[in-house]
Formats: sequence, C-alpha cells, structure tokens
Amino acid sequence: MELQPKLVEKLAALARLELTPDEVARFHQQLPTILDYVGQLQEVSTSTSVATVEPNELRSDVAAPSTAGPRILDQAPERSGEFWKVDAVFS
Amino acid sequence: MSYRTISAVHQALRSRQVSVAELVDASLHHIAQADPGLGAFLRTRPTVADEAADADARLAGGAAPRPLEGVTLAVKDNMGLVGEEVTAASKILSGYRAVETATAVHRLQELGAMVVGKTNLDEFAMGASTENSGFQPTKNPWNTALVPGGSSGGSAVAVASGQSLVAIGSDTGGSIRQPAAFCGVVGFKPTYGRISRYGLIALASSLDQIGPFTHTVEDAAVLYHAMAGRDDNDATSSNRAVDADTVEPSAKNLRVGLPKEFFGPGVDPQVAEVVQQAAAKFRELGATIHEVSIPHAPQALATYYIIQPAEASSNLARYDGIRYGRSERGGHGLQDIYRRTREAGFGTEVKRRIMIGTFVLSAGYADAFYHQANRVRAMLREEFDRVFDQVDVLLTPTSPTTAFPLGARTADPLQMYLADLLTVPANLANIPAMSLPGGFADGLPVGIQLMAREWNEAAIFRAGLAYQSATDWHTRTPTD
Repeated sequence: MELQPKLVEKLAALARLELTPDEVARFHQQLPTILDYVGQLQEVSTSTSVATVEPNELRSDVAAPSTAGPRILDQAPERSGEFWKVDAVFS
Repeated sequence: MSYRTISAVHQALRSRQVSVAELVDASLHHIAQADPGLGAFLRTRPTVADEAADADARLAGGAAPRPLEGVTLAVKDNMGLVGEEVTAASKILSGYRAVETATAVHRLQELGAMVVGKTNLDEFAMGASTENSGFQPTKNPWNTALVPGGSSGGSAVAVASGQSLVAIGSDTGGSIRQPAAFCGVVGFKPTYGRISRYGLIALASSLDQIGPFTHTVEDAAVLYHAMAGRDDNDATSSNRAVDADTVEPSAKNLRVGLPKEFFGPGVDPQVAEVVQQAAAKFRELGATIHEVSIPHAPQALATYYIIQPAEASSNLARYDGIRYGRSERGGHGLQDIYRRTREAGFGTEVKRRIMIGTFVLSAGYADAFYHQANRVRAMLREEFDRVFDQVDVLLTPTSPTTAFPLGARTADPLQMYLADLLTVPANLANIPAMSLPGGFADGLPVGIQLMAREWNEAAIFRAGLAYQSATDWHTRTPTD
C-alpha cells in the first residue's frame, strides 16, 4: 500500500505522539506491509452483513458513596488543592 | 512440598500437613530462587504473609476452608490491587497505584486466594512473546532461550515453573491461551462478558477477557466459577446466570469438530500431528469427530489487527500525563505534555498499534478498514454459531508453532502478529476457548485448543476433564 508521504507524521500528530526521526523512518517502512495485510479485508464481500453491537447491561442510575477520591487525586502529577494542575490550554 | 492442584493443597491443609503461611512462604521462597533466571514476576507482595497469617487464624478458629484456601495466585500486572503499584509493564505507569482492586482479583481473594506477586506482560498486553514489556523479558522454563509466549507470559511461567499454584491473565487475541500452550499449562478464556473487566487495564474493550492459568482443567473451572458473573461496575458483564459447577467428565457422544481452516499451511506439521493424536484420543473416549469449516477464519487475523489497534488507540488516549502516571512537563503548553509524555512512556509496539488504530479509524479509511472489519467480525460470529449446531466443541492447535527463540520475531511485526492466527477467532466471535497440554514437539509443549458456543463453557470443561483423565501431558514439568 502506497502511503501518502507525510502520513506517518499526520498519524503521529493525531495520536499525540512526538516520534523521533528514526521512529518515523521505521514506521514509514513497516506500516505499508501491515496495512497491506489487513487491507485484504476489502476484498471480502460483506454487503449483506450487519455489524452487531453488544448490549451494555446498565445498572440503575443511583449515586453511591465512593472512597476513591483521595486515592485518585493523590496521583496527580501536579496538583493544586482539589484540582489537577496543567499547562496553559492556549499557548 | 510441591502441590499441583487445589485439591492436593486442601488435603494437606485439612490433614494439617501444612499451613497457609507455609504454602505462601514456600511460594515466595521459590520465586526468590527461580525467578532471577526466568523474569516472570515484576514484584512480589510481602503483605501476603499477613493475609496468610489471618487465613490460618480463621482456620484455627474453626472456620471451614474456603474454595481457594491456601491457593497461591500470581496476577498479571494489568489488573489492580487497591493502593498497590500496577504498570501494565509500561514506563508510562511506573509508580502508578491502583485506585480499586479488580473485581476478578477481589472475588478470588474473598475465597482465600493468596496473591503472591504481579507478573510480567507485553506492554499494555500488546504482544505474543512478553518481549514488549517495558521492564524485562520473561523466559520459557522449558528452554530459557525461548519466549514463554504473550502477552500473559509471566503468569504462564509462574505456574509452569511452580512458583505459584495458579495465575490469572487477560486474553484479547490469545494472550492467555498462547503462553499456556508454549509453557505446557492450562489457559482459559471465557465467553466475552462472563468475567468482569473492572480493574483490568483496557486494551480492546470488545475483546478483552480475564481467565485462569492452572495445571488442570478441574482447577481452571474452580477459578472460573470464582470469578464469573455479573458485576455492576462493568456494563459489559452479563446478567446471565453462571452454569452450576457440575460437569460430566465424559466425552461419550461428544461431537468434536476439526475446522479445516485451522490446519492450513501456516501450521507446523508436528503441531498439527499432536492435535490429530488428541482427536484420536477423543474418539477412543467415545466422541465423534467431524470435519467442519469456518469459511472466513483465514480473514480473522486481518479483522483482529484492525479492530484491536482501533480500540487500543482509543483506550490509550487516556495516558496523557495529566491525571496520573508519567508526566513530561516543562515544555510549551498542554500539547507538549501529551506528546512528550506519550513519546517517553510508550514502547515501540504500543506506538505502532496506536498508529495503525489511528489510521483505520481516520476519515477516508474508516469504512474500508474499521467498519468493514466489524462486518467481517459479524460474519465470523454467524459461522461459528452455525458450526456449533453441528458439533459441541471445536478442536484445533492453539498456536501454529511451539515456542520460538527470544529475539526471533522482534524485527518483523507481522511475523509476531501471525502467532495469534489460531487464537483471535475466538475473541472476535466472543466464544469461550481453552488451551491445554496435548503433547510435545522437539521436547517443547504443544497446546491443543478447545472452543465452544457462547456461554457453553460447560462443554469445554467436559471435554477437557475427559481428556485429562485419559492422558498425562498436564503432569509433565520442565524439570522432568
């Protein structure tokens, strides 16, 4: 499969991955083989099949107490009181 | 003092030959001795000694032994125990502590299981050799130059080498069954939705299932029943009642199907021969053998390597350095945190699968890849369903080959993916499947795979129990 020239870079940007030049080169070489292999599915005639979706069996929507809060917040890489601290959204 | 079954442990406890503390101590001691050469464990749990003391006190006080009393258990490090480190063998979660105990683990502990340690895996359960672990490789105890299989390699080795009596792992495309086959133990994946995924670090949410590693089918059934059943914390866990734990261990009149697509050119002839011998054994035991067909089984691997990376790319979006885990700060703004954290924290295979997943879900490609894969998946499910009108169980090889050397497939991702050829169909079809020891090829264990219709775990236990009552492959150990 011919990949558009900057496809690896575009996918990396979408996936929020900062790849090294080595990694870009390696994936540029490996992805076509893999995508060719899985792309064989395009030859399968599926005109009459409908993808099934598993039903989720939901529990009743009733709030219950949880003790997990402190355990969760304790792991914040940067914290300010009850808040996670992050860098500026707009920079 | 080396027990291989839960009933042997219980006999020893009842007759006071041994205490829970001694069982746990023996396990930790064995791990300290043997694991430096095998790398199955990422860490042990010193607190288990206190849990063992509590268990002995309960027993001394007259309490009846619980179904898993004294059973030493190793847990794949993608399932959490509250307050304890859980990493999915990834640097991005190094130091991360689970905020709840996984339901499956909790249920086992409630019945007396003693968690002695957390086992190694391919990072985020992506792999078939455990070589993708962010921390260490794991070695096959039958030949330490070979891989144990993956992604639950550590759990398989823990049991195969006698470091723990049993273990649990997770199976998305074969990650319990294939290492079980490579390591000569029983590995079982139940019907999708049978065991809660709460507390299991998600890889592919429509495929992941937790399951046991044991020496015997009987013990796999005990662990299965301990874990199975509805959990309100997992909406994909089924409200359907779990079958009672009583199975006729007889293969008389059992209809066994051999699907021809699972015996094709990709399968090692010696491995195929072991499975043919197993079929002959089933016939001796009164089963009837039928050749059947799953026409789209040859497309199952391609289907899997579209759906799983797609779901993985979505599930792994949460590892962004914001709320927990590794966090690379000091750059220019939010996007830098995401990009640098993920670049530093994820290994190569993880990045590769995220890229594949992103591609197959992207505009312009999603219909030809992701949606098409889901349509093929629906066809596969129908084909399996029709086959199970004709037969009770399917018998196939678990893996196309026996264990391969460390490093042999790391340069070629597709070669590694081919290890899953015969296991992914069961995950795609949501059906239960088990690998059990069926013989040897060149001195290495060969696993035979049993599959049954959705919710028909009983048929697999029936076939497996019958097989193990007439064979002794499951009693062999690496030190024989």
